[in-house]
Amino acid sequence: MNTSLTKKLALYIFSGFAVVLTSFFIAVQMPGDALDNLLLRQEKVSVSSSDYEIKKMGMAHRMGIDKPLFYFRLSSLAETGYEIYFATENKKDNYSNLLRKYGNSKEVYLFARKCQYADEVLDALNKKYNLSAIDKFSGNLQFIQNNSAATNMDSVWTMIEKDHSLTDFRPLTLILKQSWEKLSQQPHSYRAYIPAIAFSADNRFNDWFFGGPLSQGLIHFDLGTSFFTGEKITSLLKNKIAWSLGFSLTAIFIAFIIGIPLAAWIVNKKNKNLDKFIRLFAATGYAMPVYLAGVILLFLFSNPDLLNIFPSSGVKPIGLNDNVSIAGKLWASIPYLILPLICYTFSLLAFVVSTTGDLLRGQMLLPYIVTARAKGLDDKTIVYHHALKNVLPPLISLLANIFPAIIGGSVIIETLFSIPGMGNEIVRACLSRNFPLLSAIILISGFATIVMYALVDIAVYRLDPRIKSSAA
Amino acid sequence: MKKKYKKLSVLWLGFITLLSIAAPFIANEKPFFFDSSELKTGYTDYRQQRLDGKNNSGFFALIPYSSGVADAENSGPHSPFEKNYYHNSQGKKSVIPLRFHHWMGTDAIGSDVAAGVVFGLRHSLFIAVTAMVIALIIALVLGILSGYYSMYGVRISWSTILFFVFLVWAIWFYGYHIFSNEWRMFFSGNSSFYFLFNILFIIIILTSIILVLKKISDRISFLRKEINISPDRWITVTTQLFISVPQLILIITLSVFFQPSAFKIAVIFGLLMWTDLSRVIRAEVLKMKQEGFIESCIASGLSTSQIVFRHIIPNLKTVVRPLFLFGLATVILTESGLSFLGLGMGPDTVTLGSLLAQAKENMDAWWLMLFPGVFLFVTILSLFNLGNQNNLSSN
Repeated sequence: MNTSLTKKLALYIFSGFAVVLTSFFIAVQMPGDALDNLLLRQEKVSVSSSDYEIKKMGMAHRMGIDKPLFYFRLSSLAETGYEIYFATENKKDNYSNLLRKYGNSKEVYLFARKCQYADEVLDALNKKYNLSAIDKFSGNLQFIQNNSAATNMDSVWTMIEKDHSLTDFRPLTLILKQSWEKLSQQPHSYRAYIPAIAFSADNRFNDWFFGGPLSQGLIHFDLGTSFFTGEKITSLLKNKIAWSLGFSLTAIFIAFIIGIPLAAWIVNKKNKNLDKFIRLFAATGYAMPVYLAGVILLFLFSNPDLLNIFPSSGVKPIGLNDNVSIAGKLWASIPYLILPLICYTFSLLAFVVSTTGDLLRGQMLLPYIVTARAKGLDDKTIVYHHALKNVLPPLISLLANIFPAIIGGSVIIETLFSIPGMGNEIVRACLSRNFPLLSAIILISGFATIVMYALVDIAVYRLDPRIKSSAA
Repeated sequence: MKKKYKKLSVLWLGFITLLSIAAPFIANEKPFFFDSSELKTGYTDYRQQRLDGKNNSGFFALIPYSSGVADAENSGPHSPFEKNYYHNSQGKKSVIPLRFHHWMGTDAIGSDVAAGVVFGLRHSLFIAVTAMVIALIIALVLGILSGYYSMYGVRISWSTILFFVFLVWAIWFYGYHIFSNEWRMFFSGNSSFYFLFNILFIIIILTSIILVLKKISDRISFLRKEINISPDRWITVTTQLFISVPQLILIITLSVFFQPSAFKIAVIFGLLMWTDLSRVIRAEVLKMKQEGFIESCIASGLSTSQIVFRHIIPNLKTVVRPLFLFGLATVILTESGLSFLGLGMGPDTVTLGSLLAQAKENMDAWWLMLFPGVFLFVTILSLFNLGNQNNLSSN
């Protein structure tokens, strides 16, 4: 193995890690109402119900959303180690203000948990009995949870204890008060001013990568579930990858199989008009974006007013019988595939023909061609057997550069022709803010690109003996 | 022959640049009129009077419609060859005068295609030029850094690295993290700014402490050890990271997180388009260094900034120009593709891509496909032509 090749491949592992991180940071995003949506759909809890926030908190805890994002986190000494999910911004602010003020993270954490516990107890009581005292205490609790960092709490405690209507809540008050005293008696406010690195092994990246409450984890090829349908993303994308990959690989195959011999033939012919035509073809292929080409093709060949030869969208006839064999299915869907395939191949073919032609013309000036001529070889042998072989490595490394563009083009083509592929899915995921699906598609397309780059590097290394000898 | 094409391309690009700069004066629904020798724009009453033939004082722009403004009488894709109607002041339906004809037809809601094309070109060109200028600046900085320092690298001692790491950490922590609530309130506009003095005070004290620590750590032998950081290698790695996710998919994803406006899209494109440019600039700077005139510059005592600004950057023109033009074309194509998918600047903004997307929906409306398509095609073709020929001539 060559050291330069190994270095390059190591770099790809690095970029693979970057793709994983990008994908993760998209996967943990949430549209504002995602939790509300899930609550409504899965547990049939309406927003107006009294225990809504607690249900939301419980849901967040079960989904693991209340965990920190990553293993390491920069924060202050006061904030390390304890994370808690709050359904409302007020409580969250109060919690972080308490941390700043008193600096003892464990006690603040325990206090916050006890407040939440009291909230839950009160809500359970509220369902059974409808007493004004419960409402009153609950109001006090809300006040404590929202303002305890800013107000003098001693007066609040005495007020609650002296209130005769709240005698039933003495034990609960005592628990909270004790916790508060523990928190406030030994403040370490200096801790908030010391920077620290918080470490936690139980975090969302860990869950996402190695498996957690939301998914089996990336290493088990589980990318989570779609927000809106609750479907597994891997099973959702399985068929779609096949369509996208099938189309783009077929397009690459056709472009290279037709394009390279065509270019060699043109260079061999040395016809000026043909050259001009190919230049025009290349320019058109460059300047005609796939969406324009697609719309023009649809207008010409799938238009009831002009020629209605090909169907305009989908990949198979609607009422196709499932009992038909695979060959039969393929035969039935051929008219559906022709226009998209032309779209895919058109600009790629123009690019391959023009680049191969330019590269071949460059090769024809080199001394080894002159030698071959002097040996008495005919033009055909020179072009096909000598020049073409030398052109192949740069052509294949060009393939790596255009592969991302092909994936990008597939997004547009699939949306235009309603092909059930990944490109179609990413547009829908974007429009509906379906972040798990979006992250999965980014992961897959990123990895496809990296694998393509790596394969091309290896292929060039195999095909070009000069790289081996230069390194040795 | 080739020169003719080049001239035509330059002419076309100049034409659309003029068109897009003067777009509000070329396609505008509001009439212009002189009010005590001052040019003003007015509105609707006058338009109706003019249509009824009662008032002829002011004048209309060349295309008397704005993009995206519905013309209910001529709505539904409406061919340029059809008669256009309007309701006159008596409420009768009558044929619109020639001056107010939709020369390129209308789209589904009745907005004028000609105005849409003009404003679409304006958006496209603005995004493309802004994006490529941003990309060029990034590429120049990174490419020249990596090319110029590729041989020597930068020698940095461990203590300096530690110093910078701690400094950045301290600035983030004391400047932002512990005052994050205050910052939030400051930006929402209901807080005092006295905490800024706190931050300043803490940072001054901390910087002095860290400086003293650095002085001490310079004495320690293993921290004084220097390592060779080659910007070249770092930039290669960063470039590698940027090209590992397909560009269109990355842009589509980013457009979800930012409320897309023309400027934001331009910045996103700019932050993604610099990779090719920086690679080429780096190679060119490396080549220049081999040619020897830079060594003679160093020998004659020019400072690094003088060498870079007077000798390197002017010499980069030939390699940068074709790539810049191709980059413009790529941005225009990708941005149109984005709005073709409905993920661009939002449904209110008419662009070439959104007009083409409408053409997809109304297959019999050839004018929705033809005019935006031709404008897009010719623009890209002339950019390609210019870039290509410069490339050939430099070879």
